[in-house]
Amino acid sequence: MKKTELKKVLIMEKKEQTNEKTTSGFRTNLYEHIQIPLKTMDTLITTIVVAIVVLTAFGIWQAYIG
Amino acid sequence: MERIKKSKWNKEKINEFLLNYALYFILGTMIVVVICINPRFLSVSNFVRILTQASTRGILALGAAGMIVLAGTDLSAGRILGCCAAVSASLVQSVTYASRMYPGITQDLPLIVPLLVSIAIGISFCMLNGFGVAKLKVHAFIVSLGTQLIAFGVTCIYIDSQKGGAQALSSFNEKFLNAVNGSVKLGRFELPYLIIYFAVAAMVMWVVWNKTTLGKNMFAIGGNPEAAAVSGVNVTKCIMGVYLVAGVLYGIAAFLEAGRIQSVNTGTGLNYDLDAISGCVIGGVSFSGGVGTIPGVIIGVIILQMINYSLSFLGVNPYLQYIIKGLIIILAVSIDVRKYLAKK
Repeated sequence: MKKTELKKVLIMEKKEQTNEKTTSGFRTNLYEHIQIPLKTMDTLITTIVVAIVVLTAFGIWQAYIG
Repeated sequence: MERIKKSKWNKEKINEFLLNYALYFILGTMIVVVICINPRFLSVSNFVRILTQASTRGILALGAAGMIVLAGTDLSAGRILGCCAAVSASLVQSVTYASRMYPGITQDLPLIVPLLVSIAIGISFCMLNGFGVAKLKVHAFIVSLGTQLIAFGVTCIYIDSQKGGAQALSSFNEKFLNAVNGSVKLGRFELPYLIIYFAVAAMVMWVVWNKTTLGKNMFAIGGNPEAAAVSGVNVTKCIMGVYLVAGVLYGIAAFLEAGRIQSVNTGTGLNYDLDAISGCVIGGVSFSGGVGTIPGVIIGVIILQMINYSLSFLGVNPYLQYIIKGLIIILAVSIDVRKYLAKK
């Protein structure tokens, strides 16, 4: 294959690859980019649980006593 | 040494179990607390009320769940419901109501007509979403965000086009109200039709998800679209099929919701999509795609409705209820992410 033809093929392949990456609606997993350690996730979940419990308790206290 | 290893391993397993099911523990505890504070919550009539309220949102959630299984989402579900509800409501107004939208209609239309019109509008909007996702490869979040606004605009224009101005569509005919709000007598107990419609829709969707090619392909695409395509699945056709089914369900939910609330305005359907998506996520439908069950969706919707109802039942500040609901949704997604990270 001639050098110019090879260059053209390589440019076309690169274009196709970038197109695939930018236009895929369902290709990539939604959580693939997440690199958080499991322990951090556990801490986050615990924090949210505590927040829900506290807010609900506060809401009930406000409704009945406050 | 072995005992220490075993106890550590047990502790880890218990931690894993508590974290993965944190949401159900929280929600279960909430309901138990509500029952302790006010035992009147634990009555058949309350449960029937909760199920009735959950029915239309449940049908909506069954449609949205398909898109979440495809690793997408649908932010336009609520507004599409509002649009379909507005059109079907305008066709079922009582002929004796002087300010009805179509004074030319002098006889009650057969109920199948407004139902089919509602379904047709739902399908049109959903196919627009499906086209954007399947053919143009735009992310479902963006397409549905646009469709949400389009649907809202169409609803506002439609309601505003009335002779008397932008008034709420109400005063529906008895036939429609009985068909939606009626009930079946089972001895002493009365089972509302809405719950029956929800049950039928859930059974049909279970068959579609588990016993049809569309359902199996939907899970394959959600899990790994490239592998599905290489295996011979027509990805575009399947995605359009899922959106078509969602459109039908949105149309049905809209028709029933119009009858349940008995007044449709431009605000109808606001935030319904968030309830539908939250219900799906609570019920175990994963945002990463390829995971979900119909019983899970039903349980998630009922649990969410129970939380809404119980917090209102206790008189908790409505603004605080928004915060609590938002945290519950974030918790559900965080647990989903944790399960994904644990698998990695």
